[in-house]
Amino acid sequence: MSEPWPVWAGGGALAGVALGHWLLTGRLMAISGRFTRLVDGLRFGRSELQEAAPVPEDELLALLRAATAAEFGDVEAEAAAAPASVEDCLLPPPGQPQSASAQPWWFHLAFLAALVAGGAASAALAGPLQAEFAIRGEGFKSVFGSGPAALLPLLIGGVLVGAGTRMAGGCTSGHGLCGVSRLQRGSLLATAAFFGAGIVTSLALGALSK
Amino acid sequence: MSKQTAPCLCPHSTSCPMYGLFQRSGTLKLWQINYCDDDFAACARFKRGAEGRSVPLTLLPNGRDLTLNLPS
Repeated sequence: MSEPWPVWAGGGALAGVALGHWLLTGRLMAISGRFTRLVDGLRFGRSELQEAAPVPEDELLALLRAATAAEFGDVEAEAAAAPASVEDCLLPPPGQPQSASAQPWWFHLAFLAALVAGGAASAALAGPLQAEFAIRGEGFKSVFGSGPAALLPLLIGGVLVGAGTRMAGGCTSGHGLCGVSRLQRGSLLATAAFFGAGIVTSLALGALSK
Repeated sequence: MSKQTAPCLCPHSTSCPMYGLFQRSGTLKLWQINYCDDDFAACARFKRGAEGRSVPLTLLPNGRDLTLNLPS
């Protein structure tokens, strides 16, 4: 089995990827958000909003423009001033997250594929690449084994992680990397929750394996 | 509030479907500027979410429904 990167190198690489993503795209890195958009796109073929409002996109935007005019009055004058104000909001660090929905589906797919490719490349560089049916840690292997049967708890765990991610509005990248670095209270709480749950689960597996 | 010095972004912006629409044009960004980037606590969507209630996809930040004027 290949050895993982040193902690300092892994942390630096994660920070570099998150920062690079923000610098290149102007958006905070949100892996679960991209996955959600991709699944929604495959499931609905269009956005959640369009699903709720079954009208053509241009009509939906027209409705929104009408609502905008009703809310803000002299829309044209305000719109003329809007880009500069938005730039002011977007550019200063620490930046701001944006919805990933404005990006095409293939962009999300490419990002997620690059995640898998990057992990595989990292593993290949560290040693022979081989499939495993377990996670690192003797506790897990002692309780669930390391054969194909261990896939079931991993699958259940993955589903639970997905559900928790949707409930919390983000995952370890959105909350743990980007939210915590911006001292967002919700992200601090979410990160404490999923790290705490991870520690408890690890301790429980360790206890069960004895 | 100065948006240059104190950007204060709604924590729901990454998952809010409305937020993506607001970025489609300068006109629609008025919602983003006035609610998402500024006073998101006044956003009806944020308030419903903070109360643990479901947020209708077509609910506007001002509490009105986008599809209210749709022809039936």
